[in-house]
Amino acid sequence: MFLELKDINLQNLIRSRRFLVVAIVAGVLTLILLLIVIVPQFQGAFKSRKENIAAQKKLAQLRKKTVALDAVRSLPVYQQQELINKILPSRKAVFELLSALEQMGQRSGVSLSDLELAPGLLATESAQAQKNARVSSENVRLGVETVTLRLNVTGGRAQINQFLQSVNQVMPLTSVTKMDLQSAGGDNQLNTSNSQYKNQIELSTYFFTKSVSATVESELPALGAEEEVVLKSLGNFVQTPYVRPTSIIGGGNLDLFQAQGFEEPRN
Amino acid sequence: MATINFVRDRQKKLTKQQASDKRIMLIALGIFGVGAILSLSSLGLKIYFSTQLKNSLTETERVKSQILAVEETESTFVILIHKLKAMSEVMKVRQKKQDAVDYFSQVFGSQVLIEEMSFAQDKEDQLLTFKLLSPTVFILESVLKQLSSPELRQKYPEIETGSLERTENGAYSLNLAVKL
Repeated sequence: MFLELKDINLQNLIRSRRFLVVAIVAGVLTLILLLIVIVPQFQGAFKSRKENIAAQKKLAQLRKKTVALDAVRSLPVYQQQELINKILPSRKAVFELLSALEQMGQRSGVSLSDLELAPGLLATESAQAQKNARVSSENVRLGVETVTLRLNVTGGRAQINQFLQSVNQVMPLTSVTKMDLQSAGGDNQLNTSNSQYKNQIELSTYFFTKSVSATVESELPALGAEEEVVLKSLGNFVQTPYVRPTSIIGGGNLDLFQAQGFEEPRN
Repeated sequence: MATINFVRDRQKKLTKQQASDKRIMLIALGIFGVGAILSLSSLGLKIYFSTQLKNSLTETERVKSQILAVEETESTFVILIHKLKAMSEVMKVRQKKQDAVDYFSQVFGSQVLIEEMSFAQDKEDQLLTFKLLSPTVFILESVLKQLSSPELRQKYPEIETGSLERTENGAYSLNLAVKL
C-alpha cells in the first residue's frame, strides 16, 4: 500500500509540477547567490569602506602636516635655530661657557680663578650621560643634563652681583646653583663698601640629551605660550666670542717632532 | 449520449495545484531576481569602495613621500621645539630662584649679606637655602621680624630657619631654607 521511491517517476514529476521545480531551482540558486556572492561581497565592501574612511582621515592629517611643514622654514623658531642651538646645545659646550664667563667677568670687573670642571667626555656630539654630568629626575623629564663648574669670583660686592646677574645671559644656558661669599682680604669685614669679596660659585650649564623621534604620521609639535615668551627673549642672551675650530692648525706636517737630521724616507 | 468524466476531480485538483505552483514559482523567481540584483549591487559596491581605498592609499603614499623629502626639516623643528620647552622650564625655575634672592635681599636690606646660597631641585620641589650674615643683633632682630611678617609668609609660606651662629667678628649668621 505504501508508495516506494522507485515508483516515483522523475520525468512525470517534472512534467506535472514543472513550475514547482523551477521555483525550487530558483530558490536554491538564490541561496547559493546569497552565501557565495551577496554576503561576502557586502562584507568586503563595508570593510573597504571602513578602511577607506580611516585612510581618508589619515590622509587629511598627512596633508595638514605637509602644509605645516611647508610653513616651518619661515617660522621664527626655525630661523633662530642657530641661536637656540647655542643656548641649549646638544653637546657639552664647555669652551663656549668658559669664553662667555671670561667675557662676563671682564664686563663686570671681576676676576675669575680656581676653575674646577668635570665635564666628562667633551667631544660627544650626542652628549650622552656621563658620570660627571648631573642627572636629576626633573632634568630627565626635560631631556637635559648639566655640567657643573666651580670657580672663584673676586671683586667688589656690586661687581659680583653684576656678574651673577649676567650669568643668566650666558650662552649656553647656565644657572648659579651655589655660592659662598667670603672676604677676599681675610679681614672679615663683610659690610664695608670698599671690601673685596671672593665668591666661590657653582654653576650648572645645561645641554640637551633627549632623543627626539619624529615619524611620518606623527603630528608636528606646537609652540606653547611659554615657549613663545622664551623665543622672544632669546635676544637677551649675550653672544659668545668663541668660535668652534673646524680645522686642525699645523696639520699635514710629516716630521711631527722636528727631529734634527731627520730625512723623509724615499720610496 | 452523456459522457462521464471520471478524472474531473483529479483534473480540478491538478489545475489548482498548477496554479499554486505557478504562484510559488513567480515568488521564487522574484526572490531570485532580487538576489541577482543584490549580487550585482554588492559587486559594484565592492569594486567602488576597493577603488576608493586604493586611491586613498596611493595618495597617502604620495603625501608620505612628500613628508619624507623634508624629513630633516621636520626633525630639526621637532628638536627645536623640545629645546624651547626645556629652556622654558629651566628659565622659569631660574627666574623663580632669582626673584626669591632679589626679594629677600630687598626685604632684609643692604646691611644683611647673603653669604651662602644653594639651590636644589627634585621634581616639583625647589629648595633655596641661604646663610644670612647680619652685622649686629638689632639687624638680626629686624630680619627675624621680617621673616614672620604676613606679607613674606604669604609669598613664601614654607620657610624654615636653621641654626643661628655668632661669628668671631661679632656678626650673626642665620641659615634659612625657602621652598619655592
